[in-house]
Amino acid sequence: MKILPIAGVPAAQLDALDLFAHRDAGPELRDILLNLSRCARDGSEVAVIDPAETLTPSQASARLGMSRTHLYKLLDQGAIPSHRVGRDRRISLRDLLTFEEQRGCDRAELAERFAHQEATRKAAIDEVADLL
Amino acid sequence: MHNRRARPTVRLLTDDLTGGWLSPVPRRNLSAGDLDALHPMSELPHPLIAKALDCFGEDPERDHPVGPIAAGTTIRLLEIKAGQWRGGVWQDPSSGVCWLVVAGLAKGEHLDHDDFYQRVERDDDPTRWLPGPADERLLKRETAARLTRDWELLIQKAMLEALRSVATGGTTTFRLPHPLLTDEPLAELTLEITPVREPGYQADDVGLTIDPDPKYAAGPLIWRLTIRALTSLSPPEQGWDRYHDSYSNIGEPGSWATRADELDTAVANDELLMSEPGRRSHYTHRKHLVAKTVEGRAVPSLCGVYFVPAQDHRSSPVCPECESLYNDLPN
Repeated sequence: MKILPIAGVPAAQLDALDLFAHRDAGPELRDILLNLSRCARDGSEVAVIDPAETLTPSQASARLGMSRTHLYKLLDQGAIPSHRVGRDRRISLRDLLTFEEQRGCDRAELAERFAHQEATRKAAIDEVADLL
Repeated sequence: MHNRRARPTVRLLTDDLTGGWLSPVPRRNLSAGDLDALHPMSELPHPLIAKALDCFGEDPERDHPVGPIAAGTTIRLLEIKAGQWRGGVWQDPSSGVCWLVVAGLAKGEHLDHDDFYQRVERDDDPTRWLPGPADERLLKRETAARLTRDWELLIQKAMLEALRSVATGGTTTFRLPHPLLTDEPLAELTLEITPVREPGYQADDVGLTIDPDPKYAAGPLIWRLTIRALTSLSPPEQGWDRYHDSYSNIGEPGSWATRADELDTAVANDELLMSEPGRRSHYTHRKHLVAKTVEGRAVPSLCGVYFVPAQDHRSSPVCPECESLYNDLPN
């Protein structure tokens, strides 16, 4: 996986890119270029991955910060797609990144729910009160 | 369902109890329109309200008002006295709840125009003293708060029983009901503890799956249930990993049995445990940080935890993992 250093691109060059995208690019290319330009302005990063790149369960569990046992549970549940290579399995980097992104959203939501639990408590009380 | 013990109406607090308060706070909340802050209404700091509670408590057999108010007209009022204060309590025939609906001072041998008894006798529409929509709403919220608390204690207890049954390894599945509609299942929970012994990883993994009834999915009751279930198992908030409806955490080998003992004490004392927010300050990306802080949204830290940024992060010690990862970054 490679990270492209787009944060350093000056705004003027991004404007030129946007202009080209709107004026000269075909629709598919335009979408990609505008996306790229927006990422650069946002301060996001662009990662380039080899679609053929795969990880072993050991590598995947290390990257995800969990035990191999837990990872195998996720593979068995189909939470992370995998394919067999001989007796063991392989996970594509793309699938892993998709999982990580969803997990990130889910963890963020949990953190927010913990932080705002008083408000949730009041909402729950209101919901019960409405039934009385 | 509702607690029958005597409670004042909002009208009485605003119009009748113009003095005699032991604290200025309730009247301030009232004028600010913050009615929820008055809860519990039965325990507001005024001698007449305290007297009403004393005369009309939980047990109807022990009610002891002075007697029916002679001047009471279309509605039946029972009289209570506290010092110079006089009050009339009305019992709702449908709910059994006792309401302190009218109050005043006994003045000038009852010949004074403002005297309580004179006012009661004179009033041609006592029904306007009866509890209104605001009063009913406050009563329902208090009852709902009580029911919700009892329900959380039940969840805590269910988590304890589940934990005891699988502390050394295994799976158990159980259902949790709605706080009010006890025949309706709210969610099905599955608790699994897996002892993991791998080279370099010796731990007892815990996994909790919360499968909500579709009617309540993603609603406040399910989230309250989730927070309560997770806190029962392990209070530190940042220890919990999540993917969809599955929550996972890690414990030292054999620690879940110890945790069950701690939880047992809380359950025995009818005490609801609090979750523990993180106590370290973390490194996070500057991007969108201000917006997310203002909105109360979570951000990811360098070391991988998600947290909602707080203003006072500088007073906490820095996360050592974040610090070392930050120092390893290029430039």
